[in-house]
Amino acid sequence: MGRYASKRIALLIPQLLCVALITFLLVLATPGNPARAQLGSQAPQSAVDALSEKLGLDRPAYEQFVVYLKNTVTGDFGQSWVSGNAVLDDLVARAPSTFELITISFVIALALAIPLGVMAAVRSTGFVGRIVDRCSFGYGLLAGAIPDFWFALILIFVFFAVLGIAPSPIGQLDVTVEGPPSITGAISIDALLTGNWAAFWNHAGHLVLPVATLVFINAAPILRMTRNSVLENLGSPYIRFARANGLPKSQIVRYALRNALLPIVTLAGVLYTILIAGAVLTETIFSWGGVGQYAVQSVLNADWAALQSVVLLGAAVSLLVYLALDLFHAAIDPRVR
Amino acid sequence: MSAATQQTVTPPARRMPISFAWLRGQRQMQLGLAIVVGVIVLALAAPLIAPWDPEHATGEVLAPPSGSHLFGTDVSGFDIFSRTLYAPRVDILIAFTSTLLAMAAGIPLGILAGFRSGKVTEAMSRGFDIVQAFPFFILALVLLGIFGPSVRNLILVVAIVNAPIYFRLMKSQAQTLKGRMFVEAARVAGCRDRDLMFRHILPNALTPALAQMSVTIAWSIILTAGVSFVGAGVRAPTPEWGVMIATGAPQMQTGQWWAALFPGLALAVAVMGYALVGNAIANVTDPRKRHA
Amino acid sequence: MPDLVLSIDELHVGRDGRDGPQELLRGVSLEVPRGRIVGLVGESGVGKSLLLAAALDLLDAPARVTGGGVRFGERDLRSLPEQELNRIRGREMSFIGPNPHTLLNPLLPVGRQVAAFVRAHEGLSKEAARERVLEMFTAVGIPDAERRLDSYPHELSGGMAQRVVISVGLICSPQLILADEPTFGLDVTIQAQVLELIKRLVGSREDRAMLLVTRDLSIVANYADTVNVMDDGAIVESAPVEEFFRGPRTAQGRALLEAAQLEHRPGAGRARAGVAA
Repeated sequence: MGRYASKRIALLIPQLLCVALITFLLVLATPGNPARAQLGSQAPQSAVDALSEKLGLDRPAYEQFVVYLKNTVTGDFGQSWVSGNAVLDDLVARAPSTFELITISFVIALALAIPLGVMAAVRSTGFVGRIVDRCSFGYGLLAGAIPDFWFALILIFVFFAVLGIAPSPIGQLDVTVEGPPSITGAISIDALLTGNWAAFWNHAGHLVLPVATLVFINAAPILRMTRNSVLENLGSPYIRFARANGLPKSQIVRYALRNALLPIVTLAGVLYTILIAGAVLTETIFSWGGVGQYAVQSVLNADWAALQSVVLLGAAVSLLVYLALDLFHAAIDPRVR
Repeated sequence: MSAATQQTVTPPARRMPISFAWLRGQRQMQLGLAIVVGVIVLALAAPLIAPWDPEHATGEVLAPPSGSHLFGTDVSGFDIFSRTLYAPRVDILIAFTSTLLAMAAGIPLGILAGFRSGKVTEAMSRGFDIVQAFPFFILALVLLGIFGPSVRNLILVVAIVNAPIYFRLMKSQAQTLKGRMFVEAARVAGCRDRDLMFRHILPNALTPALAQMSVTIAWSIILTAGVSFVGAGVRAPTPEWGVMIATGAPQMQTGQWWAALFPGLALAVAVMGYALVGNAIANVTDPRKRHA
Repeated sequence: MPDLVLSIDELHVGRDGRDGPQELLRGVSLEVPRGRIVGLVGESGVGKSLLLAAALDLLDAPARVTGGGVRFGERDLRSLPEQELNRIRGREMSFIGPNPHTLLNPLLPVGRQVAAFVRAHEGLSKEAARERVLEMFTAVGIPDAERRLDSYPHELSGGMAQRVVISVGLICSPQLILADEPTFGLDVTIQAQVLELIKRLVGSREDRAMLLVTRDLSIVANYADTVNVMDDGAIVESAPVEEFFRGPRTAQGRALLEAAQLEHRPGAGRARAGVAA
């Protein structure tokens, strides 16, 4: 296990390099002078020239890449001409909110989908079983077909416009509520840390709809996968062999679950990266102020430095998630090692 | 209790092991196909059916659904029903074309990579892996941001996002199939690698790709809509479901539900249709399922 | 101890197929006396494995028993509640099958897996169970048994994996072992070893019996006491081994014998298992 782990972790470096390379190539592909692109059309020529020199735009491409790498590693992601801040600062301010949203949704989705999936697999025969089957299939189909941004709008309409029980879908807190000081950047944690209950509950209220959206859409594939995987394992020869020799049912289910876990976890990991994408749209609708919304604004404003960094960040997070997946896989399945 | 009849040496059937009568009997397939065909027909027949010009403002702004405006009008006065009918043209065009492109790129490369393992194919696999490392939506946004939001670019971008899936699928298929007896037999008989790959392995490996195709189309429609929703894809006033939802989004807060509801509903139904078809094909061609 | 360990009486198994009810087992009757190895042969698909499943009451829905009975010793299996049945399975009536790697949980060490059975049935502690499994592994001839306790299934050869499977089938000293093609998929020499092992641990003991299902007539010839020929869901012929090999009475029996192209002369003593055609 240790050997596999160190090999796999070592793989991360070249992967990150490749990702950086592709991001860099994207930069090269941006129209016009990249320095001008970063600083915006209003910036004075002198600033553009200075930045051009700093980025090494007159030097050959591979040297530019080295400059780019050096800048990235030292945390210099350039400047957002829209906000006027260093991109790194913008990201640091926004990333925790996105992370909070994604992680809460992810945990709730798993907590709901996996037990339901196991139940659906265990009760898959008989009259009740067929109803459960149809329902889980229908839900999977529905959740896969409904766009998450549309679903968010529906939720807003029903719970805010019509029923009036959800807070206004703008931002993470009501404007009237004072937010906690920024320690981690995630309002829920910061509010807890500083004992600011008003902010905490208000924020929780604002979390409900976006989390509900992400959970509804993303719990479905996990539920289906759990159901299918457990079902498949329950029917496999080693389970039948165990049953034939009288292994008690509780142990049988535990066997099946352990084996079923592999594809479920793989899917969950992939889903986390998909949540990153889903968060983009949800953040835009709810004006969440996270990295997702930042990405969209960057595209629309042609804020190249910001956009490039968001891409890099997103890819790096994905790679880390895949790494965690691979390690988990190796920990559970001895055949991988 | 498993009967002791496992490994077969005979090649898997070249023809699909299903009869169309059996396929038609599948309710999923029927429903899915009905929706898919219906959507295509409506898209093509839109000029004949739509009561209003989809890009020409009528007098009434934000009118609720009524006799003359079945789905109401949006904030610019466009008739939503007509726009909903015209919208699939763009989405389906993009979805179909990009899916075919993704398959054209991913399938042959995947078979090659699965069949021959060497430095080049390793590099290919790593390459596709890296593409998949980028969160697909952000990748799509960036590419569209750089190259501009045109339909052509949308097609390319969606294809790029989807190609790795087919590459991976075909690679694992080729890896599994190349050890099978029928390939060995052909090789011993003197078949060249190229023929082995594309005349023997490919037809047999294709079935999961075909099941995947419909799902990819469904997914591409959502991706296109999503990208257009944020404004990086198809732009107003072109009727497109994502764009329409974006236009109608602010009104959801103020209670005019029709502007965003109907396009979303239509989108969901269309996507469901394609997903059903893909599902039905996958069920039928799954070698593990037993047919009576 | 009862004379008849297993007695299947006019067992009917059917299911509702696409075109109406279908009968899979049509009145099968079979007896396994104490201390005997009873062979069950037939082409693929005639219902041999199904019969074993029915005996264990582990038929896959939608198949179900539609008539007849299964008695284990004095007990009518069909009337027992599931909990009782589960106590019989593995402890008094066990099962071993083909393709041993598919029968073992790939994620757990084999020692732990076999121990799980004996712990479930006899309530042993972890240490005591491990000792038992070690004894069993040694008895079935797994070399370096102590180390093998912690091996994973994929680290074992076919022959060793099958020995592990047999360990499961024997560890609680059951009266009856249902063996479904226990040597299928193994190399010929390993087949012979496993069969000799089975003969030693089962055939020569008065307190054990086995129902041996196979397509390979030579295995039956060399290791079974009785032959039952199955065709199309029913037993068409049943005879002691020597009598059968002198001359089968049914067409199906003769067909099987010819297909095996045996050169075995009845009563000439036990030859080693030959290659099946």
